[in-house]
Amino acid sequence: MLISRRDVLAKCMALGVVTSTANLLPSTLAEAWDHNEIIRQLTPPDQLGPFYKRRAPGSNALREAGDPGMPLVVTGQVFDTRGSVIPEATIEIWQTDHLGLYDVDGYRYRARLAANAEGKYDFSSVMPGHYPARVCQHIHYLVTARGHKPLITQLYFATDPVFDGDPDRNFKHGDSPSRELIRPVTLVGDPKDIHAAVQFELVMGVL
Amino acid sequence: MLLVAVAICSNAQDVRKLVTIATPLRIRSASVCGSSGLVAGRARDGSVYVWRLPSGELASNRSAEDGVTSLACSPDGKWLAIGKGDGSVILADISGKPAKTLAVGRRVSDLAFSPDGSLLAVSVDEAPVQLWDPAQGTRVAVLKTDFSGSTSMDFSPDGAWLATADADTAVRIYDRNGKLKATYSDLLLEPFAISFMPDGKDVVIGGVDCIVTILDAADAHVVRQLPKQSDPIFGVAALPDGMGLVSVHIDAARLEKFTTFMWDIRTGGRRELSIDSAHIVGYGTTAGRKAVLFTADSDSTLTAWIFPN
Repeated sequence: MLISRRDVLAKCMALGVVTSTANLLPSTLAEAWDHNEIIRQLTPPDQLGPFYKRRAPGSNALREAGDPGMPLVVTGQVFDTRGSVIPEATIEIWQTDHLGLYDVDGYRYRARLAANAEGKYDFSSVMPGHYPARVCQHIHYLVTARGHKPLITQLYFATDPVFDGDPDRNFKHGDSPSRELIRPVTLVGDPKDIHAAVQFELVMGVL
Repeated sequence: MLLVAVAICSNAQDVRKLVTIATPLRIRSASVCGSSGLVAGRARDGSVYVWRLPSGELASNRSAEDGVTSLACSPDGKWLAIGKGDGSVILADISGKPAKTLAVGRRVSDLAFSPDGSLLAVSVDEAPVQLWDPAQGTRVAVLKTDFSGSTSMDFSPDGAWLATADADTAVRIYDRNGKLKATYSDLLLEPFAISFMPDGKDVVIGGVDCIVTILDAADAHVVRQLPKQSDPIFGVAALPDGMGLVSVHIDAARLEKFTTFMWDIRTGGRRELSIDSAHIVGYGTTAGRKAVLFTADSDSTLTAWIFPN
């Protein structure tokens, strides 16, 4: 039998394990507890865009040796709004090459990844170029996981020239729907083997 | 709505200019009001104009309004549906006087009346199409997608079916109650355009795969495919004779090259219609079952081009 948080709180209060400085009912405390447990905000949604392609390959190495463009490594983890890891989510990503061109004939810079049991994912690619119809460099995401609403969003880069070095101030110069989607970029490695690193956590809502 | 910015056919013998109408502002979209002899246009500032065809005489106009995103005119020429970015649809009489407002919850991207005017299909951003009863102001159904929304939709000529081209790459066909009848799910890339053939038996689709595909509307199996082109298809329209169709192509990678083809379905042959820097803003079948294409020029004119039967 599952015991609700409300029951546990009531029992703990009765036993004196939990006390409240205010004269609050266990039900009120339980609601407040639930509310406070929404510790991660949903990842803001963004448009799917016109170049989604089904059946992308499962490899997380989108960049091949000799590919032009700044090497890029993206890492992240998939959570729900309570902060719990969502294991084994499916993460589909697609982006342009460094010149801003999508591959619609094949699957260059497209992948269908599986997050691991800890919800972690990563892929290596190149920094996308500027697609002519868009203002910002971006990577498309479609994330699906059992029991959760599909998440369609996009990753943007704080180093995008459109933000002129200050995405907080110049956020509206771009076409990201949310400041939250513009992620810091760290340059890693030495000058002979440098790459951009970005962390992008994903937070999904339940169905 | 992905049908954009395409020029058309100034020297093609198959298409002739019906009328050019001076407009106060550039027209963003045009909706033929069935066989009523009217066409409605949505201007850049959200104002709506209704003109008579073929004279081009102004029949009515509705003042500018913020946030207008889409427009449809009922086939009997009596009603306008005006979609807005705030997630509402205003139903107004043809003079522009509002009658009721539908709360659809998301930015409206496209609208379509059924041929008898008894249903209104509302396409919204990143969510499935909604079917509404415009007379009652009630929602009949919310359609299905695996994720995201639809890029194009079309009612069958008898109004019994609605076909949607969906961003999850499926093509779905529903009955009037929103019950799914058939699904075509073999596409890898998004379909951008969909149109029933005049007999209602087949559906034409096109999209990023650059191929015009004809599906049997009964079970969504492929009837035939026309030769692959070099650029994605952003618009398709069946011609009233049932033998021809028009496809609109754009070099989507560079957004540079716009092409319009007229196809002979029987032979698979096509003819490229010439381009003169205008923009396609609407297509429909008007009185006398004439196919009409509308282009809006930057000099604030709306031109109706007519195809032969």
